Amino acid sequence: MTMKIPDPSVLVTVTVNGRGLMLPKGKNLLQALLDVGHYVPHYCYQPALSVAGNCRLCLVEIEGRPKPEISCNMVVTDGLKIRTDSELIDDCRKGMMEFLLMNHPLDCPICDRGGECMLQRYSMEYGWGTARTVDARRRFVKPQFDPLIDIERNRCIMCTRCVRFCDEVGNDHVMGVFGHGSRNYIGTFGNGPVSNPFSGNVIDLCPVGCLTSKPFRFEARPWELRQTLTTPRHANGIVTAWTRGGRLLRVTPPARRRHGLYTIDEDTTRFISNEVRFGSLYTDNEDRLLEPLARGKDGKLVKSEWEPALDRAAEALKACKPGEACFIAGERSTNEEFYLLGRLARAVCHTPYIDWRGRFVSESAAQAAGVALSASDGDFDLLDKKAYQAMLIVAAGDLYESAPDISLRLREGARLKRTRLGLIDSRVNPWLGDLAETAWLEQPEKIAATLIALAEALEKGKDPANAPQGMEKLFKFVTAEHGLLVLGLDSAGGAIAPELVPAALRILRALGVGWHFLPVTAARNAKGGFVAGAQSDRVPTGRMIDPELRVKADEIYGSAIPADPSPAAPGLLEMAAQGKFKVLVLHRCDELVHHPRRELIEKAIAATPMVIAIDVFPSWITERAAIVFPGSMFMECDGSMTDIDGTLQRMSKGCRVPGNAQEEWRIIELLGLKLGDTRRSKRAHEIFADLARAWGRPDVTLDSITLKQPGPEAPQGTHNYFGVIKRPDFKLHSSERPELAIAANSNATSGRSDLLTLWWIQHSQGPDHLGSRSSQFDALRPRPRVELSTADAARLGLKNNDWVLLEGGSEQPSQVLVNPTLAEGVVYGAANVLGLRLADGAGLPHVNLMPADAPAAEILEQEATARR
Amino acid sequence: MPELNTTSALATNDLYMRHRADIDAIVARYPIRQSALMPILWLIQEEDGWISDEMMKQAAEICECTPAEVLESVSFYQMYHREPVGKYVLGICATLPCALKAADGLYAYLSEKLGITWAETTQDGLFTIQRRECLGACSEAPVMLVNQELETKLTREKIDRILEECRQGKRKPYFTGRNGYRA
Ligand code: SF4
Ligand code: SF4
Ligand code: FES
Ligand code: FES
Repeated sequence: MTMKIPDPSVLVTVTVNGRGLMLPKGKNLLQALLDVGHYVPHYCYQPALSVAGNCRLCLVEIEGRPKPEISCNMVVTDGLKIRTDSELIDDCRKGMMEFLLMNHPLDCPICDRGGECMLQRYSMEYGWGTARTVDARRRFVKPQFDPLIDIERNRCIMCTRCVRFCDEVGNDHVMGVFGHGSRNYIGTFGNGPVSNPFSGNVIDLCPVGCLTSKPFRFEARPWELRQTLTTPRHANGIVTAWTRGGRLLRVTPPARRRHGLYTIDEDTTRFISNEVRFGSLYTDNEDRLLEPLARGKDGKLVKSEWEPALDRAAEALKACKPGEACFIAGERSTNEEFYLLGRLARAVCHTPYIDWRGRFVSESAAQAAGVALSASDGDFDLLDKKAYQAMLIVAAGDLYESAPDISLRLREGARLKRTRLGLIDSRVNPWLGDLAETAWLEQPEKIAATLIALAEALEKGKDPANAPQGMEKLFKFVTAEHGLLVLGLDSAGGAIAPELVPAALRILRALGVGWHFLPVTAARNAKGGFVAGAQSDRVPTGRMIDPELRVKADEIYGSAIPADPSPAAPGLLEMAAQGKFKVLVLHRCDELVHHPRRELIEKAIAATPMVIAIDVFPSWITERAAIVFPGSMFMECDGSMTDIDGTLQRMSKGCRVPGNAQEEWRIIELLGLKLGDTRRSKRAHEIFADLARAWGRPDVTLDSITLKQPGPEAPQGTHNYFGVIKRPDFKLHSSERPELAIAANSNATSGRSDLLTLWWIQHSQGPDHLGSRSSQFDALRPRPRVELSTADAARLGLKNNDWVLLEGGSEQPSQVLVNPTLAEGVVYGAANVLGLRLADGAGLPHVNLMPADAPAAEILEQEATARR
Repeated sequence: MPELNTTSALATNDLYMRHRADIDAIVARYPIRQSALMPILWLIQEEDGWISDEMMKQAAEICECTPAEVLESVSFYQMYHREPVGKYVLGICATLPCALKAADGLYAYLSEKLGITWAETTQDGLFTIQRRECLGACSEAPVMLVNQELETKLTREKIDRILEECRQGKRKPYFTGRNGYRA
């Protein structure tokens, strides 16, 4: 049964406390009231979750009905007359508050929620103020629970928000309500961890002090903290960063001002991943670079002052003839840094060689990604009001691991608006698969062919008779009037992107104007690199460098730019490895640090006389550089990022840059000044203004970038009145799922006997990732694991948790997980967790699986204790 | 991310392999696998007398749900035990009508005789005393369940007799014991 989404444009009159209000018909009454600023207290209702109706605090009196009813389970209807301020309602709330507090420990002084606790707040506003009970209160023993989430069951009010969150957003029924009656309690099986990458959100969702953050425990009271709305460098979420005295203490979804105080917005629909929440705290890592480093005569890298280091760098750059310097900008650079680097390279150093696409393994993959980004129309905000009929997600199954925040938005966009979801992939992401109406499983090499087959059929017309054999369901799916095609660019380092992107563009043409295109990559500021002109073939309008536009580019930069074409970053690295460059500038290239083509990068660095690195953490790259400039961390830098859907995100400074480090944009400008450039900005705002002018949007300023208020509807119709959550009808692992069209193909036909295609990703929680420098990350580190299809596992005689070696891929033993929704002939794993090394970037790697011994028991033991 | 279940996962599932025919028959009775959970839990309990964490995990695997879901059911119902019980489980009704008929005295007598309190098992592994909600036989109060059998209008003499019968092995034990009884 498909539920209809209420049309918010139809307004009807609802009389609230004798006053007429125009509210959208069919909308959840409580949400409609909250939206127009009429506050009704509530605990269990949460706009992103189903309605449980168990706290009874949102009671309203309805004319014509004998008893008060809960507003969170009602919809707006015409002529509804309600009261929220009557004596009866007041009494009801008082009663409910007393009931909720009956067994409450009231240990606010030692409770981490104190100051932002809804129980405290409602007690003051609607409660009694005193307790009438004298009996002993119920007490629970405190279990270990999650390594990052603290549980204090005595404080729980059983609103089940946490349970519903894990169920519906995390898609994992890992938390539950155990026991019964007055001894109900919340928890996990065996008191294990809340094992999904978004689990941290239960901390904010919990209206009381039951679930609190372990790392933040007893660190500060909310009123001592300063809030900054910002976005991190290492992942895509918009967050509020909470600091005290210039120290970052916690990161939450956007906070909201309430009663003059900022509190975590417990009604948020902008959830963030653990990677953002706990990974942002890499600011605590003391390993960071704080002084410029320069290589002395003896070849050792030693501390230096800014002036001499800058002088040496500038000297080297000045000595370069046009085209002898090469700039690689990391994908985590801000728009401003991208712009400045593009300018420094082209207009000051007169070299065409600048690019940001280091993440991709081959030149053709990087080029394909560039094409895809330019084809995206950016006319969507996934959490915005706009709803697509259908969303076709191609080869983006890895996002759950590689960019959880993007995948969260894809899923939430589809779930909250009940968009139909279709997948074409080599691995059905269980997280998206549960919502998918149709899924087509295909080997990586053949995904493009599948798209082309679909496109050819579509070109003949949307008549179902045109559907290619066996693809009827998929064909019917793409005949939707308007939809969104989401294309994953970076599985296996983009190895299949060169075929995939043209195929996707072809199918888009066939789909017609109603369909939008969203290429996705885990590269944090990919879109920024594209629109701010740090891409080899683009000027800061995101447009191609061609003779005509060059004139415009000259205007933007205020100086002529070189005419030669430049390859993308993988090509630049190849050139560098051949000794083509005198100077190589690596700006915050985290992705190169854990790149599977490390050999190439090592060669490039060795073959270039002068390598200049700008970074925050020492790595094997900074160790080999001639000059290292220390940059800024999260919260230490102003600027903007461009989200994958084209939305600008503000990155705000809330802390001073410590030691001798500098904001990156300043470093680039200082370098420019030494090279005879005149550009000197006081604030990042000025750089952004230039960028905005280049975009033809001088009205946009850095300060005008604000958070778009999300406004999705609560998923009505999926709720069950008594708080039992209705799960999706279908579970991925149920073998009888008819819609799941598993493409019929076998290894026999593909001509390989034992070799499996390695479909690799970069895990966002893998080692070397920026976020994984956070000490809070220890508990989140993924284990070396590879996934195998059922058929391959049977053929190779492997089962879950067996240890294997990837011959031809990595030396590290990893554990097998049998995944029935993985294409045959494919092995799936995270390159940076497995320590994958690739000799070249040609195509997909093939590996042989060899049984291996389990690592020594004590290693496992150590890991287990680290996890606790 | 939920751990994916596979057909091969069931092949390593002891519970399933031990009771394949029974479990298949139970599962076939329902439109979705989760519905088979309660009877499968009974199956476990008949065998072991209680439901261990390991058994819950295996049941979850069979019913294609998460262990947390199984624990929700197991912890909700009093009839499922999460700790080993004796060969004879004495479930004393502790609800009001029975209480009015001196069920507390019944408990005190049993407790003294067996030397155990609520939810404890005697040293010899024979008896466990449990607290139960109304057993729906209030007119016959005070009542108690001896394993699955209801004993009504209890007196000290009657209790003595029941205990004796149990000791002599005249009554059906609570569980079959897959590895023989615990002594
Ligand atoms: S949950 Fe709220 S009311 Fe309860 S102890 Fe904590 S701060 Fe106080
Ligand atoms: S732990 Fe918090 S969120 Fe979960 S049910 Fe209890 S009060 Fe609600
Ligand atoms: S918010 Fe309506 S019952 Fe809890
Ligand atoms: S109260 Fe004991 S059987 Fe009803």
